[in-house]
Amino acid sequence: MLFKRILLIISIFFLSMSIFCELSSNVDLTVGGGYSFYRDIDSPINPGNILEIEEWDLKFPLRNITNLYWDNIFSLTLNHEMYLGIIEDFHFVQYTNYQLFKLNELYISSSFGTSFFNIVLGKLAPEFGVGYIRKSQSYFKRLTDDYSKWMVNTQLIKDSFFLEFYYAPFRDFIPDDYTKKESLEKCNDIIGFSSNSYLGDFYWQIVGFYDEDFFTGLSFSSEIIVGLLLYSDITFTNKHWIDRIIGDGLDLKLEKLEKPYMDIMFGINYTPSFLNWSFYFETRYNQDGLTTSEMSDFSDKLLKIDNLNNLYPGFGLPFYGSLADRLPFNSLSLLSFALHSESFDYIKGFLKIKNTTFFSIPAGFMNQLTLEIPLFDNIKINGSWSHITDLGEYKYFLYRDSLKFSIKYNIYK
Amino acid sequence: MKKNYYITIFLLLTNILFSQDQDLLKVDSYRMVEPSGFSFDFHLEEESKTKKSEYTMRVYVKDNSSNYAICKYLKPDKMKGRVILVDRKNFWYLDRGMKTPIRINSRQMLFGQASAGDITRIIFSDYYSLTSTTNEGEQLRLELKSIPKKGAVYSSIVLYVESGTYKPVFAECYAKSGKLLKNIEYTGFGIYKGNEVLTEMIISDADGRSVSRVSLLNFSSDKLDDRYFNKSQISRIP
Repeated sequence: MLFKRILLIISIFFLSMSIFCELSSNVDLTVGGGYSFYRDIDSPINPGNILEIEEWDLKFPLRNITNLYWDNIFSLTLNHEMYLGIIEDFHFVQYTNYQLFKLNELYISSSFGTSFFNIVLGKLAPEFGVGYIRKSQSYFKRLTDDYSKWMVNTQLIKDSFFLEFYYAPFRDFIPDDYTKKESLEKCNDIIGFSSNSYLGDFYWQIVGFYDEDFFTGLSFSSEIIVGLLLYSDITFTNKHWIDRIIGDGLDLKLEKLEKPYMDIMFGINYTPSFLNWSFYFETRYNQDGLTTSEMSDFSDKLLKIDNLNNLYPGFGLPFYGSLADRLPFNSLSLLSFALHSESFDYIKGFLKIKNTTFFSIPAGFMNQLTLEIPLFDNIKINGSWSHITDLGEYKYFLYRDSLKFSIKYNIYK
Repeated sequence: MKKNYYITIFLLLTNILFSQDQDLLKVDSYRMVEPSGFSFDFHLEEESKTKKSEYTMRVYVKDNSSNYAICKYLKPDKMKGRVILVDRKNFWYLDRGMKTPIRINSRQMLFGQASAGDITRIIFSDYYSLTSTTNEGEQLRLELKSIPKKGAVYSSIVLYVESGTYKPVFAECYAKSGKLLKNIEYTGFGIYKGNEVLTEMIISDADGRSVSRVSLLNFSSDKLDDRYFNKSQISRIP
């Protein structure tokens, strides 16, 4: 209780101080998303139209508003060597993108020589499961309610070198009444670390955590010649995610395996000197990927869910590779390939084009073409067309064809 | 006798190399504003047959090594909020809505005709070695060769500077194949804290298809804290 009051007072202090301090506020708001139609009434997730989805669904569902980012960083420089700050919505567990937690972070930073030492106290809130319920809560509510828990993070920074250790009390993350109600198992507390630096021109990152089980990840990248970047991620863990249907949604749960498995991704990023285009090729082998029969079982489970808002089981869970924001792999498949190209500058000043082709075993092909047109500099119109060429017999994709439009309005100070 | 001969040769070579380094440092003095770090606005107007555009970014240089720099896009609004970290020869990119930065190759940060290197690698002596100096009347012709594995943008540069002052006048930038890629004309200089610094240059394609006018404005000793010049920290830049 005392902690809550202290944090509340500090938060109000920083909010008021932010008027006088440097303030960065970034809003990316998609005001209309998920406008889609179905070409085929026998859509993969809805064979025979058992969910009674209209063939040409021309609704403009506001419930599909997505991609609302609100990142605030308030910082106050006490003197030249001491900093206080608070960050909202910091992405904590970087390596496991599907294990997203919201972190309201209070940090104290101190320098000695050319090094910096951060001590971070944060309040964590889960993104999955109970996290969905809490999304609508206010900032202060999230900071002070019983769902969120304190964590401690220490960081050492010197030039390109970074080292951090953290302790996150996940065990009591989800309250007992919720776990009993939804038959969820509790997580364990986590002790983790992360470090990154360079060996010559070779970038490396190592992350890991222990919570009675282990997770270790290594990431490498190097620009071997100008314009050609090689990168790779390798992870080992003895846990894997399994899906379970809870109520009208799908939840994911970590399950312990007898043997650890490997997940490896390798990518190439090339930009020719004569083109303002970048090309990516990535391939990924997931030793724990679903086999043909497992994929069919999963597909059957999905068919029982009658509420699939924001759920894209085929491609919905982004891989934790270094370019995850660009290439969301089919994380369920054993083997995946992706070819992606994009103009990284606006063509003729007004058009940005991206095209991504996926091929997954045993999933199939998908191609997605995205056009982005900026209006009035801070308004962007996005249109994307996804087309799945071949699903085989696995009916676990939400759309065969989809056409989406969104308008993004950005305020940035 | 033979020993003295080697010593003489060594001293001669050292003297030549040292003086050449000194020459390059004199040229760099027009671009390195404050050794302890500084910031400036990099404003670019690009003009080609098909389009005309303007960009502005705030560049924070960590220290006199120029190994570390952070570029924050200010204009146009559609790019506002982007941050590029230059960590020696490595580039990390963070855009709005992204939680963690991704690594990009050095060609992916184009800023009109100016490459990332043109913007952030402002010190010749860090990336190039001086191979020859020729006196051409009022100007000196300096031939620079890229230092291997330093991440220099161009393979070689022929740089013309004023005799005596070493103020840069004109540069021809070449690819490894020997092909002329860009011409840079140094057109404007200003005074900052009593020192003369470069404030304007014109970068043009070798084929003349597009021309970029670069202005370096609002020099300031304001700098970002050293801790932000780390890939793990750029998302926290206020």
